[in-house]
Amino acid sequence: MGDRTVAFEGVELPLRDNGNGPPVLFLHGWAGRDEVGPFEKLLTERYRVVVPEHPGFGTTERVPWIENMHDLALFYRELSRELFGDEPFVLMGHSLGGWAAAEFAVHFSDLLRALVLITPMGVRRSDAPMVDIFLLQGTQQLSDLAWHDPAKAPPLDDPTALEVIRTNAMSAQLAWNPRLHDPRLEERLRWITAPTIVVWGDGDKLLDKRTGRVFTDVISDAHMVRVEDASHFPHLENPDQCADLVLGALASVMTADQPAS
Amino acid sequence: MEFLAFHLMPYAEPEVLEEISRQDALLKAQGRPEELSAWVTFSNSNYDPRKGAELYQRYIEQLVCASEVGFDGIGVNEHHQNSYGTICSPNVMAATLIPRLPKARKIAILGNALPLHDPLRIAEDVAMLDVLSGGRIISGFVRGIGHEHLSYDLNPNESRPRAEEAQDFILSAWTRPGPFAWHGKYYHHEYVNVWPRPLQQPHPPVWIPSAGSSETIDYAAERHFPYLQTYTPTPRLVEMFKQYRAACRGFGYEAERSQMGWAIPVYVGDSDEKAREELRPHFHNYFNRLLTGPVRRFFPPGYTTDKSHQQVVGTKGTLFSHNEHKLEDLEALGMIAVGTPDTVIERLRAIIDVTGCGICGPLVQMASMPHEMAMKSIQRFGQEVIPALKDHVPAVLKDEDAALAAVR
Repeated sequence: MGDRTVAFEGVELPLRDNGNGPPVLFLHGWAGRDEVGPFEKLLTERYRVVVPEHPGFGTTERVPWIENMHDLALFYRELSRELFGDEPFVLMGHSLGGWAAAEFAVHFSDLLRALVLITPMGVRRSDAPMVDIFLLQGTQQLSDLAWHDPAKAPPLDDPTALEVIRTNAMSAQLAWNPRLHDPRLEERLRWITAPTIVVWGDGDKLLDKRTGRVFTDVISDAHMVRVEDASHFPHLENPDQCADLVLGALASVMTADQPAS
Repeated sequence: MEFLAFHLMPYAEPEVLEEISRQDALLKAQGRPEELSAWVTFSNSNYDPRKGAELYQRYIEQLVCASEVGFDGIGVNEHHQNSYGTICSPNVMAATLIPRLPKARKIAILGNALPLHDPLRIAEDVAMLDVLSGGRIISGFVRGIGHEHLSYDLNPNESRPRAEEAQDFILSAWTRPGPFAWHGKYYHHEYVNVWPRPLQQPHPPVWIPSAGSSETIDYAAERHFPYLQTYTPTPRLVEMFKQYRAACRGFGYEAERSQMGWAIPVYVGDSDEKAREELRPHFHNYFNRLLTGPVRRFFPPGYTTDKSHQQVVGTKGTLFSHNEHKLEDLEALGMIAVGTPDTVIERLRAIIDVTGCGICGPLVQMASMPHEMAMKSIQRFGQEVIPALKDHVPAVLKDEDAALAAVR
């Protein structure tokens, strides 16, 4: 429990592993693994929450065969087996991590009790212009878009820090082209059978609103919850309301599918 | 010494420069400084095709002039979607130049940006150009600078491995009898069988222009490919070529002078002072308006190794930031040569002496430099500078430090 690393696929993978209860695997977004915040703490009151740092991000070495989201999903299938054995778990992902989680669920819904997608990337409307995150990494401009309230935004990344450089490079590895999406993800979402909760920040200035609804429209058992006063990081910007909504939605799912003992 | 007149063919009309300045001010005021650039996102609605047609004609005239006044040949390069350099297809430009430059011994493409394109198409284009030109093509290969990875959506992380596979592919396409199949990591062709085959055997000379990464230096040295360093302060230029020569020795041979070259903007005028003043506005437009842009665009994430990226970002006042570079400063660094023929001769000779270069690629026109001005400079360069340096043998560098001091 707590902070540890696990030797996996040739790298030392940092994990936060806290809380007791049904397992949750949380996949972070393009800006790197967040520090522990109130949202994560609230989750750990009812769940065992495991938060890895993706290979190639921060201080973690790259796993050479992880070149795209499909590879990342495969990596996490193997890691989840390592962590949870055969026990179905809740997969949660934010932004780029939400895309990875959706990709995972397309193939491996049977392993999941629920899927929680927080402002997920991966789907893009051709008629909706999108800010090019890769040109704005570490800038005030991007921070102002990603956060509803500038006072809540963290300090800007130090562009000379090796961890920042590595995070930016690895997010580009995964999502440069096609930019921040997979043209085929939308049509493949139909294979997701896990009960799905899509979390949207009411004031998300990065993603087109319609893309969130693509997930809830196509995935058969899916609904959206909206977090107020939040842009692209609702779990960090309004953690109490976000936790309320997510825990509430998960509670209905968990009671509905109690496994027969 | 070999001299190749290098040209970027910019679109630097006054309206464009005004528009760049206007956007500059506006974006800064809006807190969007990261979008300032004459590259990729600077709308092509700023391009007037009729003016563009005139400009291409004048630039071609300038290169014809160069080939007639003593340059050994010319060089063009590849840049996309910007007003700094409008040669988006160096092969198209080379093709239009071939019949107009009967006197040019070498027509250098410096270079095709390999990972942006299908390497089969590049192999075909260059083979065609070689046959059409009577075997005068020099085939430079580059990765493409950061901006091209925005224009062509190439994942910067894949830039180098793609370029390497593309290069191997192209050399095979030129030298292996076809048809053969190529199924590499990045490129897949069931039938490789290029018609025409290049005239020069075993293939056109391959040159490697670079900004100076160790990987590229080693790559060129291993294959005996001439290495060309782009705009660089002289001390660093010296280091690059030391490294290149050492790399060649590591691969078992001594580098020839004809394997080492560098590019440098030049302007030759009547007097040193007058030349500087004439050049100054165009220097400013070139270095401070057209070439500049956010570091993120020159070095997108994954473009270079993490450590190299750290170095680049950590360096204050880099060439590519929106600094207000001063002509005299870059002159002192050896990054431009401006003045009378004698002054330019001295500047270039000093660099040749400390680097051992056998190839010089003077950039003969900069940004908004008017046609007549460029023509006069080219004529003076050809008539006075080239004859003085043509047979120059670099000073034997018994004491490399002394030679370096002579440059400063």
